[in-house]
Amino acid sequence: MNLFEQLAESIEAGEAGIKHLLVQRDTETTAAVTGLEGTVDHIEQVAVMTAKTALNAQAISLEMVENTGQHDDLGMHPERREAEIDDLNRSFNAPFAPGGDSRISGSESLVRQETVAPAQSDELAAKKLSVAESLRTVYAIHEQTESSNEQR
Amino acid sequence: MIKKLFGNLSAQKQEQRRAELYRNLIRHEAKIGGELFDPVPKGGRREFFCLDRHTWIWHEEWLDKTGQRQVKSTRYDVRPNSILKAQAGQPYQAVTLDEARNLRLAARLYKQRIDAEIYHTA
Repeated sequence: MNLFEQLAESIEAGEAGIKHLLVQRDTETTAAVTGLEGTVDHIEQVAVMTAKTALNAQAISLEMVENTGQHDDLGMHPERREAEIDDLNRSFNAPFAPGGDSRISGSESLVRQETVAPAQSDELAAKKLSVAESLRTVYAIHEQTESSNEQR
Repeated sequence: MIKKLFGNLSAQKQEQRRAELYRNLIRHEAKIGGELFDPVPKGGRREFFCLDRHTWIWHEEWLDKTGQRQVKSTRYDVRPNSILKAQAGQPYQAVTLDEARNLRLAARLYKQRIDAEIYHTA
């Protein structure tokens, strides 16, 4: 006996609750579909919000680096980085005055003290130039890496 | 006393018939649900149905290349904020957005078909 024969027989026999059973099942499936619709709507909303938040964060991050000069991945403020390179260039180009430039400190001042002999002066100057160039190269590579990462 | 006993037996019988009818309703729905999408390959069986208001079941059987019968049952638990999927031998996992959308589409079609073929004709 198939479902419809069974239903017809039960209704014909006047069995109590058959209609109620059908209504109950109909209500249950309606509620199941409605619940599923609500949950999928919620999942969609969360997905949209997550995507928007990620995009906003990316945009803010880019804006900060480009416009406000936030510290880069090397922990160096872009303006400070430029100033440091300028300082190196200035100190390299400035004429040597023993005890004159108090800004130069640490290993660099030691280098200056060792430049008393004129023969060594050119060699040290070349070394300093090399340091400045290396620093420029490091920053250039870092900036290239950053920009290629952003493109990706 | 005898009247009461017969009365109880009759009530029990009615309850059994109702339970059997309810199971048959779900079996019939499952068959309709299995016809919603691609045709079922020869020798295979597919069922898709609403078990209760929070649970949907997808059951598929097919013959593999060696003629062995394969069975896969997926149970979807619908929660207010997510849908969890359970399959044999695998831990519960949240469904992806795409899978949730597919399930929603299947449920809508299922409801349309069972309403047209069972509830709104009975």
